[in-house]
Amino acid sequence: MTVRERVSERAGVAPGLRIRNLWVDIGKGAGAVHAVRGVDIAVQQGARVGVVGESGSGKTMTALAVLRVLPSTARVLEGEVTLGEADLFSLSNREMASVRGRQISIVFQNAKSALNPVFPVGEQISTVYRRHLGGSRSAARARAVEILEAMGIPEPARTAHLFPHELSGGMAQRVMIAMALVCEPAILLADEPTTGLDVTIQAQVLDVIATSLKRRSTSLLLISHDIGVVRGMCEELVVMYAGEVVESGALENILSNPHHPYTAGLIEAFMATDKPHYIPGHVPTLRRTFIGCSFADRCPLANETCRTIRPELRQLADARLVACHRAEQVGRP
Amino acid sequence: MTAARGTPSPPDVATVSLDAREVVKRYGRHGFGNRRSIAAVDHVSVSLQPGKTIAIVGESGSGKSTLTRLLLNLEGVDAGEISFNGVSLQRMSSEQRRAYRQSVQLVFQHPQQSFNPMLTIGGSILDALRLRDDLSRREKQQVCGELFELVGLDPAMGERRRREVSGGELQRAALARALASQPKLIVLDEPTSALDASIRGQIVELLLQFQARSDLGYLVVTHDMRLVQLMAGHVMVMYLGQIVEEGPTEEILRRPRHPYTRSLIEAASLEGERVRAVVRGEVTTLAEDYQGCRFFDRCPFARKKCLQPQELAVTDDDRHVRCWRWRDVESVARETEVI
Repeated sequence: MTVRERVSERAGVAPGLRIRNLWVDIGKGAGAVHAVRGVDIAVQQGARVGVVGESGSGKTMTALAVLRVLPSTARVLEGEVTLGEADLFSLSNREMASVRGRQISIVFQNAKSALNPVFPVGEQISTVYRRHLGGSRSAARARAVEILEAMGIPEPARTAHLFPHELSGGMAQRVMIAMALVCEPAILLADEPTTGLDVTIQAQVLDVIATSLKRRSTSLLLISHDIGVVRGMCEELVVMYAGEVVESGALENILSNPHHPYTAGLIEAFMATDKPHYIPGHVPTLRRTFIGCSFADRCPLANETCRTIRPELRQLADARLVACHRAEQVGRP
Repeated sequence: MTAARGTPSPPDVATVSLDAREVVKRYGRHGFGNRRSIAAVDHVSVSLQPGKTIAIVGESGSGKSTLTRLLLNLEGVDAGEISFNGVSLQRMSSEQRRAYRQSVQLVFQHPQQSFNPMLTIGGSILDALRLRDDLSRREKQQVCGELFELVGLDPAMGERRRREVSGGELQRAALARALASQPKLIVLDEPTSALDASIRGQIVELLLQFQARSDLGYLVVTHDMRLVQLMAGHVMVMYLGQIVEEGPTEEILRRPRHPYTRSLIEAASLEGERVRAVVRGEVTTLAEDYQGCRFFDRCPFARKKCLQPQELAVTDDDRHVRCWRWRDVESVARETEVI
């Protein structure tokens, strides 16, 4: 059985992605940064899941670990990532290469630096297409133009011949998305896909992603620091802090009634326009290990229990998960 | 009167003001034999005063950064005039120039890039204190400590270098450095956009505190509508070098009258079920001789008449807008409540 068959057991059905108890370290020894600490995320078939967190929350490292493209200093200590029936960590490098871009694609923040500067963008897209799906050069070229057009790029046939430096930031990001979607993957990982773009362009790019995912019921794991972006795109939300998932569940439930103090503070900092809201202190260094809750130092509700016992993710009545001893005091029942 | 060391007497003038009148800055386009130029800032007027906050909003290419460079005299204007306390920046005496440098300060967007990597944070702030020649070296050390306290930093932080402190702490240090010369006006170039969401409010609160305490005037350059709402009483929206709308922040956010303002507000809106692409296209470069509305290509309200030059007109209630269809824009915007 080929990898492709294993990951999509039934033809035509996109498999779900499951991350279980993922631990990632960057560096070794005393200076090691424990960037991801036991993360669990499930992306069902066709689901759109948003991951929010600040810098250093471990969200990008999680995405890179899923694709097995972590920087050379980082390594997975523990955990499992499955796509359908396939355990991605047990695949050979060659098998994994056939998953990347075909089953799972990723879009990075800075498209211009992610694209190859010395090849025309159309050629880069058709190379990905032929690599996974074969076919003639001319068919691949036609497919590249077709998908550029679907991304709302004006004059797609002409744009295909341009080099990355000839494109604006918004156009380069559309090209990245086109490249990620050209093989119709089951899952798209988007890591801050619109950060650094102007707000009106950001809205356009998100629109393109939403439309093209809907057309093929592709699953989405959208990583962002911006609650506004995730809110417009996703139905499920995962909130990360200091390498851990602190709250996850249905997006509207969490936004309207957060049960983790960090989620509550983050939402307030984002939404409030009457006066500045913020969480005191700053994101802790991930070199340290936490005895109790990683948020306890900044939390208005923290007590002795919070400082001494690590809160595990537990399920509440509305099926959300939250890692807080005092969740009942934060949210409404 | 002997002022306390930390608070020496401000410049001699009673009120400080920095005024730009109809300023123009043109940049040449590169290319052999190509003598064309585009106006990055096109007849913009703005007046900064102590105690007031003005926000300039616009996307990349709008000319907002160029305008700040002109106001800080990092570049000269091609037409129009910028004056400090009534004296043109071009014609200042060295003494006036010194007063200007002391009174007008800048905080950059990326604190990591605005500190000298070789100096300690404390060293950078001491360096900024060279404008205060009323202080001895020892007094400068003491003022430096007071500034750390003022922005809520541990004075021990002064011994560290920029890579050893977090972004939020470094931005506090950048504020301390800007405050070192006891300015009356501070230009804030995206002061929070490099910071994490949970701590942005800390910097905003600090800025508001300083303003209340020392009657500081701010010019906030940003694309973040929420920051505008939190800080500025008056907002100017720029598009391709021109002011397209200007007026009281609350009014403009509630009832935008220029299609571009409207699209900016809607794109930044947290409400709304779906992300909507409100305007099409991107910021383009225009032909040199093009006189019409610069937003024409992207505007859902565009008509033939928009190809004629558009004035920044005063509307009935003293707001300024550069769109002859502003009544239509406003009535549509009102139906969909934004922000």
